[in-house]
Amino acid sequence: MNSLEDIVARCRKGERNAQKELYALFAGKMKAICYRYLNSYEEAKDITQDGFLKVFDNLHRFDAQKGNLHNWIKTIMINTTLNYLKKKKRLPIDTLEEHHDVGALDAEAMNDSSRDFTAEELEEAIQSLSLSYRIVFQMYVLDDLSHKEIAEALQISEESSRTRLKRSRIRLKEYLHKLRLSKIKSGKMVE
Amino acid sequence: MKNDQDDIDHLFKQGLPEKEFPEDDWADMEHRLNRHEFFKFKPNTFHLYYGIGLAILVTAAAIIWWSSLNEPNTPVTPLSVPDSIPVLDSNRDVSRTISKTISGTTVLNKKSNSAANTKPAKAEDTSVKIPQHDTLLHQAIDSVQAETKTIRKKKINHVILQDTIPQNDTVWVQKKRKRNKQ
Repeated sequence: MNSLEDIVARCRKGERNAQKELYALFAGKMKAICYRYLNSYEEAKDITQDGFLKVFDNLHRFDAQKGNLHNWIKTIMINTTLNYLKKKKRLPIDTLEEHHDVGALDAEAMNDSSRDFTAEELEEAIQSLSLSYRIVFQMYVLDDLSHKEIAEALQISEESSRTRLKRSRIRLKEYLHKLRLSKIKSGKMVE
Repeated sequence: MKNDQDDIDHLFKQGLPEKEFPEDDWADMEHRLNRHEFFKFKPNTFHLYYGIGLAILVTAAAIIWWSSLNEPNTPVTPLSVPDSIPVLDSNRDVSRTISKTISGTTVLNKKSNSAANTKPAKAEDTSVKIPQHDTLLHQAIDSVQAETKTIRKKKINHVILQDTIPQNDTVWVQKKRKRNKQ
């Protein structure tokens, strides 16, 4: 098995076998990331391949000392996905929907939604968010991007990114609280 | 408040493990990569494409030029000379003949027109005198006149056509100069 540095070096020379190895290493994970944003497997597959074309084209720019390859490829994939969403006009540039006041939620609701949820339920909770909130939440929480990076990628202000994140957290808590209550009623969850 | 935020972030981070789609679709990706590399801008390949494009353009231009050269010219109807008319050397002779006819008599010399001009006395002896109102002769003369007229018209039209382009050009240049002055 070749080391990652070796694969990258061979990819830079344009060796097809090395490109295949790199694709095999990262394509599965990157497809999953794209899928999270797009919610469609076919689109995710397509965008992942588009992203890998950019990866192979720009691999000479990658500096291993500045960051790891996984994060570099992930950033390219996220940017490719966001560009695709912008092209398809599915991504609102800077529209904030009506927001709920933080004070509208009681303290209990804020505290009781922190555990006992399956991955599918959490996935559903994220999907319940509007796209502009969902993307910011995914980028910040799941993909570990900073507000500055999010703002650049989405062409919004950092403040706007922070506001969206805050509101998405509140909505998720609301959603999980409701889910928890319905579970208690149906007897699936023991308090 | 900060703890709540951390809680929800932690919940989703822990609760949603990194997924993976392990489907092997390298064949599809390779096809895409080949296509991408074929159309990718590279200095060397660009020169190749540029050369091919230029060669195609030059060939097309050569074919068009060659086909325009081989294009058949507009057919010119040959002069139909009636049998009763004597053989004439040129249009000049025809006009002379016509002028003589108008004056009264027509002198036709079958051997030589020039001889008729130099020795008028002898020519009168050898020539055949034709009556003025001979219908056949008049018909022949009319047809010859008509043919000469059409030839002249064609020549004049040709000259006019040739002259129109530079004339238009000069008008256009004059207009342009006027505009520039304004």
